[in-house]
Amino acid sequence: MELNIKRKLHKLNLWAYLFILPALIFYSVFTLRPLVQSIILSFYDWDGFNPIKNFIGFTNYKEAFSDPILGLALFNNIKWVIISLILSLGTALLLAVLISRCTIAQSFFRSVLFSPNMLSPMITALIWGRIYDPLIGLINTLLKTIGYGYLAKGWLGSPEWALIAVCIANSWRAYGYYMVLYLAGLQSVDPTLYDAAKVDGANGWQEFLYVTLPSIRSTTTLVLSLALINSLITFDMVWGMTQGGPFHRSEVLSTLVYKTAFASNRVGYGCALSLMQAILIFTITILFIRIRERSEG
Amino acid sequence: MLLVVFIGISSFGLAAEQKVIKFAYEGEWMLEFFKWYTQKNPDIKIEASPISLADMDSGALQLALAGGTGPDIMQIDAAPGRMGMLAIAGLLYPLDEFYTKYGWDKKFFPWTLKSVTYNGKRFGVPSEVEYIGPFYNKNIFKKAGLNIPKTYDDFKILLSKLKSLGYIPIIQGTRDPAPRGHIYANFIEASAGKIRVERLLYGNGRWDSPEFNLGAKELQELVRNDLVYKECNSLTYGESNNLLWTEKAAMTVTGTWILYEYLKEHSKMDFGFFILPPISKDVPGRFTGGLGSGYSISAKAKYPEECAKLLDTLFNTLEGQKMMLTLGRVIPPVPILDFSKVKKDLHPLQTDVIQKLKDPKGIGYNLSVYIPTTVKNVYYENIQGLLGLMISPEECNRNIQKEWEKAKASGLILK
Repeated sequence: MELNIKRKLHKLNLWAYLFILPALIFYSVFTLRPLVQSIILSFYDWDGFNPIKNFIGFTNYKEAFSDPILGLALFNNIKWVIISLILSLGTALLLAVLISRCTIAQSFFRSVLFSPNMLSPMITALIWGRIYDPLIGLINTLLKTIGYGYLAKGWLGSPEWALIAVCIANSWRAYGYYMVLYLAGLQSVDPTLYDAAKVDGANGWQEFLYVTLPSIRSTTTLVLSLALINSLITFDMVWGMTQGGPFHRSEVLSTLVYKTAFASNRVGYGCALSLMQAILIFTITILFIRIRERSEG
Repeated sequence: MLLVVFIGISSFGLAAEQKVIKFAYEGEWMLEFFKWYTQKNPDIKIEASPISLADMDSGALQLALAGGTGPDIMQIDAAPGRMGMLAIAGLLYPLDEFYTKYGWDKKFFPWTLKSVTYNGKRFGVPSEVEYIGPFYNKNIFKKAGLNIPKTYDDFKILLSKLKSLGYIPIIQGTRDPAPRGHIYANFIEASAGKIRVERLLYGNGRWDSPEFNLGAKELQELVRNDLVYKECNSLTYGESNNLLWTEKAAMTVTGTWILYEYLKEHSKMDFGFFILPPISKDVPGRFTGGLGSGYSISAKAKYPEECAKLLDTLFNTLEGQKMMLTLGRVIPPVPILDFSKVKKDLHPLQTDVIQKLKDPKGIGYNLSVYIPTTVKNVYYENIQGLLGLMISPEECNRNIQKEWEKAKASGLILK
């Protein structure tokens, strides 16, 4: 009898492994293998073409620690994270709360407000590139029309504004996704809590602060970690709008990695930079989740 | 990906027992040439697929070439960081035997061959010649009573007049990297001249020498005074061209490749090129330029002989040249066999461009084509900093020199 069960279990395990196998093959070929290859290549000086790769040990990593552009890209990435979190998450939460209170046309608003997220980053970059156009762009035209023409500038070419401008465009594209997640979280809030709060004399703001926010804490953790990771690996919008310019003022880690590996053909150094970026993202995300878990605990 | 692209190829030639040549091309006009060529050579079938810079940047081309599934002939940048790297990696077929067989050394303009030569061997043939200089709206000049400037002071006066008339004197889409290099190299040619640039590229010249700094300084001054559009770093090449076609801007520093767009959509407007007047007294003033790209044959091509014959037909028959000029609007890197037979089909600006190529002073260097990719990146970034008034001309050139020295030490400088 016992032997039969074991056999059955064994059989079941075998089936499970068989089911996992296709995914495992894909994962190994398209994720694990490139990852291991990147680790190996980061110890080489290689241009991506030459059959000969020169082993240089930790030289690429040493160079990275003294690379001022890497420091700048990292700093820009941190700025990007902060602006993105405020803009996209702030907008997403605000709109989610407003939509959840809509009694009519809720799905209409949800669809319309989600729609920017359905555009490809490159299309968004093109649209916003036009909006930021210094001569015919919407923003400068509007500023000139209302008498604030002196504020008009070449947003994407401005050292002070380029990063912020791209970040605004990116947040416009991203907030819809987070909004939907928040909406799902808001639907799980127990309505009796609001009734209780009302009985206790809470106003709308207090309801939001003491009922809504604590009730969607787990959604917030999820949204924050997603936004954090997305911000740290951001590439397409920056590349589409400024390519990291002007003069590295909107350079982020991903654009630097791309330029190093593919525009400068320094594949080894590019791999070292991308691994450092991956470790950074991993560490920050784990730290964030731990901190959240502790505070929740 | 090229591998995928080859599934959606256009095929030319139908007969049985054919030799198949896979051709990765850039301009749509090439399809007409393939049709004509396969009609003349029924034993050849051409499988044509478009190629872009992205195919090489993503590594798809290298992979396909190494695996023997890539194109047999491909149009790629004739630059050390593109063709040079593929050549050194052993992915390209050395063409010296065909240079001897078809006499290409004597047929192609000698100055064009440097860019297809790596470690003393020819790994490509030039595909087209380009020159770069101020491309101006003749109507605006006429309306304002302005002439082509002969001296640099005249040039500055001209720009000020254009500005006072409400035009953007020079527009440049430097949000894109290439136009930064075009304008900078023109100013360097005007201040340092071809001989000093050659000394830099092939000798011991320096980016941070006073003559180079002078060119960078003059360029930055024009930006500071809004004579080169101050917000140029906010515009792409396409956006800046739109301002040219809508007559908001009077000129841009660009190359003869603009002819394709101009003749296709704006040929009723009257445009022309002129040479940026010299900034230094000991410099004659030249267009900069060089090769846009070249054609190379894969080291794994099954029929290299046939590939070479095809390329020879493209450049050294009147039919091939005519198609280049009238369909592709590109300038062949060889003397035109019978100019009188093609002249009637050319736009006056094309004729003018071809005449200007005969200038005995020759063409200066479009630096971005001649420098290794590691330097090119730093070069483009720093020019953007210069144009955005973010760094001084000296700092800009010092930064490029620093990367240049690193490239030299790594043996990356073109010989």
